[in-house]
Amino acid sequence: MKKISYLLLLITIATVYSCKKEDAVSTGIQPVNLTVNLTYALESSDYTLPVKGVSVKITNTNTASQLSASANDSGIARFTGIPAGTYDIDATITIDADNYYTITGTYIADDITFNASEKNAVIAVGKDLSMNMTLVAGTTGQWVIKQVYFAGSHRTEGALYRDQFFEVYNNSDQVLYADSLYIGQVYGRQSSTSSNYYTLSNGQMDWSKSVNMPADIDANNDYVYTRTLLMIPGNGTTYPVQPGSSIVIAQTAMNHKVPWTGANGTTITVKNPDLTVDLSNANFEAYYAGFLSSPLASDVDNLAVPNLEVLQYFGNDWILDNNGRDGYVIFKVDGSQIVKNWPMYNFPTTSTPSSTAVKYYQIPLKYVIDAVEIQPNTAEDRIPKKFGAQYDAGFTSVPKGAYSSQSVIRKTAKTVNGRIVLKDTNNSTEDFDYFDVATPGGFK
Amino acid sequence: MRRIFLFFISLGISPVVLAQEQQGFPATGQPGLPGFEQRQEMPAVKKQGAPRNMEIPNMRLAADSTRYLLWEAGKLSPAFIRQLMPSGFNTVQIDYGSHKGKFIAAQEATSDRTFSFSTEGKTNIGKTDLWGSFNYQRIVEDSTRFRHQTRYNTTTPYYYGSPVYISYRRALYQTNVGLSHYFFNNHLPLGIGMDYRIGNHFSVNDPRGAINDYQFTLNGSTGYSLGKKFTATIDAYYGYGSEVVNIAYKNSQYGESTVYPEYVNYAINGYSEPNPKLTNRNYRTRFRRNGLGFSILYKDKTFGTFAATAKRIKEKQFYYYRSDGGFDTLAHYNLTTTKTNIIWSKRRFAVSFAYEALKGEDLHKTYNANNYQYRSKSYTFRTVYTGRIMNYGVQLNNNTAERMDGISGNHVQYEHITVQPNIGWNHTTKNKDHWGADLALHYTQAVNPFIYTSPVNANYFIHQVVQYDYYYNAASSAGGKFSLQYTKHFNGFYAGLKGTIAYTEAFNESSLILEGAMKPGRDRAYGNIALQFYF
Repeated sequence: MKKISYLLLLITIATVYSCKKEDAVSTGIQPVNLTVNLTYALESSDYTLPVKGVSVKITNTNTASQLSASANDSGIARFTGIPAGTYDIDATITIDADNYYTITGTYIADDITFNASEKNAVIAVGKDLSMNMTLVAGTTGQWVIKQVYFAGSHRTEGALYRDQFFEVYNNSDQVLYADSLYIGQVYGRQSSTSSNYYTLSNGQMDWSKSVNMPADIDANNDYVYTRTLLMIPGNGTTYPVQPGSSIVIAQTAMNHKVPWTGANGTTITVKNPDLTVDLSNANFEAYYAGFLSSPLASDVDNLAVPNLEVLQYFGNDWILDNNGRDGYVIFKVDGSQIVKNWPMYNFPTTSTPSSTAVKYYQIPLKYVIDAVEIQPNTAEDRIPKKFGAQYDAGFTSVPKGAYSSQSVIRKTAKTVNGRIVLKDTNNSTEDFDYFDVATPGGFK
Repeated sequence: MRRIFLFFISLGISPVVLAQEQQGFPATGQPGLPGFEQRQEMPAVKKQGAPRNMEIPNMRLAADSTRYLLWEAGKLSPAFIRQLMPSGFNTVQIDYGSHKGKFIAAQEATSDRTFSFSTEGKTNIGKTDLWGSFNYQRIVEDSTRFRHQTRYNTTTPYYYGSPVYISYRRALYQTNVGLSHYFFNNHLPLGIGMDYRIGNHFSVNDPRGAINDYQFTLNGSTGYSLGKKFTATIDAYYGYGSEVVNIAYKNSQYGESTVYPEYVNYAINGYSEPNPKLTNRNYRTRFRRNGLGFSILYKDKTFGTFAATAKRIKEKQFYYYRSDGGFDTLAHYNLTTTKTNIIWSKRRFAVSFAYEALKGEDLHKTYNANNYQYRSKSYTFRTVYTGRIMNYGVQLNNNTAERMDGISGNHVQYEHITVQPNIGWNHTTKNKDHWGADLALHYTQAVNPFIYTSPVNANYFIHQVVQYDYYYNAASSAGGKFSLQYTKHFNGFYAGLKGTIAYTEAFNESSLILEGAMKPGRDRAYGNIALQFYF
């Protein structure tokens, strides 16, 4: 009996003792060292551009905290002991026109900005990361995309998406003609989740795998792909735009603040006019009802506002993605090009697309005058970039997201003789701000 | 086998008012988990002056706090079923209870109403001992927030939540089965246990969460037995489960942007400020678990009954998003549970010890490293003495909990010491009717609470969950529970009513000022009425 009692007591003591205190809690998170190596993408080897002083900024997509560093003589910027995480890494340098002429022998009218960008870069624990980034100078055109009101306004209090508009600005010092200016809604991956598409390392579609895509072109870097393609009409001199002026292109050119009659005779109204905009004075509108069998009631034709020519469309009206997942380009072509005959391709799906699958225009980037990358406002919902750094090194978004009445608006860079010059460094992150309520013709 | 029906109002699993975490009582939505550390005592209702053999066995077991403790211990391992669970103990129970009050953890409900139906019984089929139970709960939770959850997997780092208060409805079904058979002249015990749970959970206002879950665990044991005196087994555990979570909005404008910040759906992944998740608001969790343990039982007229069991179960949780294109990994979480239970009983006296430790750590997909750590430990000592008229008990509990987020550095740590004495009174009339009353008091002292939260990016989650929970757990509390029951004897069965009220109030709240933090209320009340059948 005693032996058994001792044995059971021993078991009890051993069991209780096994519940001993453990060591202090710690996690596997360790700081990471990031080295950014910067070089230029130069067409000539006759000269080199300065890498010292290139500003590199890293932004944690979760906390929005930022760190900055300047590159040394070797073009290396170092960040030591940063928390692991997902970062946007942006590098930029502006070389003034005189200095650029001294170095290259090439005259440029304005200062030139070189950008490099790596978005959503995962910096994980366990290794120091070295990243190579190539600085490129994008095209800076006379036309710029000034404002994009893609978010729309409140579903029940506002005008939903029917008050969306797009604004293009003459950023030059001379009169430009809007005739035959193309506006493209650039499409791609709408989500970063697993897909049935062939994809690139950044998650964007690998268009080179599309059916019938020629093998001798760079389908991913020299082209983008649209799901809407519109053109401003005119004979070449029909629609002059003065320096420092803009044209507003409405989905529906009506005053959305007040009631108006829809195509089916119903009254279209908003409960809170402060959430929407007056587009009755827009310069152009996208009118689809003329060729659709079942158009939206809100797609009425304002006879005082010229309609765009529609080369490609989806849906029942020119609806911009409210979440901000489309990119936008404007471009013009020379007389040798017949845009509507440009090739179209299916998504690069891993399975062969059906004969009725949607096709997308292939837009050569060499014709693009300006491009703006837009992204959803939340880090979790980011999608892969569609544009390279030479067209838009960054992206822009509205802080509140879809149906918020907010628009993205290009910042004012300077004023020259009363003419406002908008900022255009080919980095939308730096070039754009937002309006809390979209303002056609407004400046920020 | 003589079967006697009792219609008896009593309660075995009703939760008392919860003080801070882990006072030994199941929380809202958690049915009484098998294990005597989870149960409150049954008041003794022995008939006074009657010969022992005139007692109805079921009634006697239910009324005897000490023996009921052994019954509960029998559920811990199939090896205990034969020795600790007398055959013919079968019950059906109907129960309705409600909590109200804001002295709650951040992700609890300010009020809830629970209807439950449960039944359990023990029988023999030949030489095989078989025990089984079934529990159904229908729960209405008002005003819970920042977590869409089943309340089954509370330590996980990955879930969805919003700041706005929502109302949840839950339906839970749980079945537990254990069987035991002895081979080779009673020398080779073989036991099998099975736990199966299905849940359906949904919120009735935006953001509307819908969660379907199930959990299945199988355990087997075998070892050596020396007659009825001694049994020792090695126990193995294997289980799996799944949760499917989806968030939708009736008023779509609440969910498609950040215009309405209180309604924004956040993907919490760790213990720091989360990111809004506006699209693809659904995920799945796959559970896999296995473990080992041992059980020892010794029973002797002189020594009494001694039972000990210990187990360690490692669970892997895999969080993923499923789309037409395949699977996207969201998070990995490993949870190790260690449990030890020891009980010794002799005649009217029993003493028990329960230990439970949880160790959880994630593998964060973005950082490719462990970011979140969870630890908790609970030690519970309990003594019970059952007298002829009065019964007495006291329970001492020490529990700690700790959470850490590596990236933000957020770190919280709590410790509580709880003492809980109880006393019960019973009276049996000449007609075999029973009156019973039970009073339990509890006092919880918070010990050295600690919090660090990073000031960077502090927003809703830090203020409404992390810092709120600090205030909740840093407070001391005290309260009591009183229950009164009347049980009437009918021809062959018993029937009765039992009502319970309980109240807890907080005091000695932390004086630490955390800018912007929300704070809990000061009290919490509970009421319950129950019916029970014995047959």
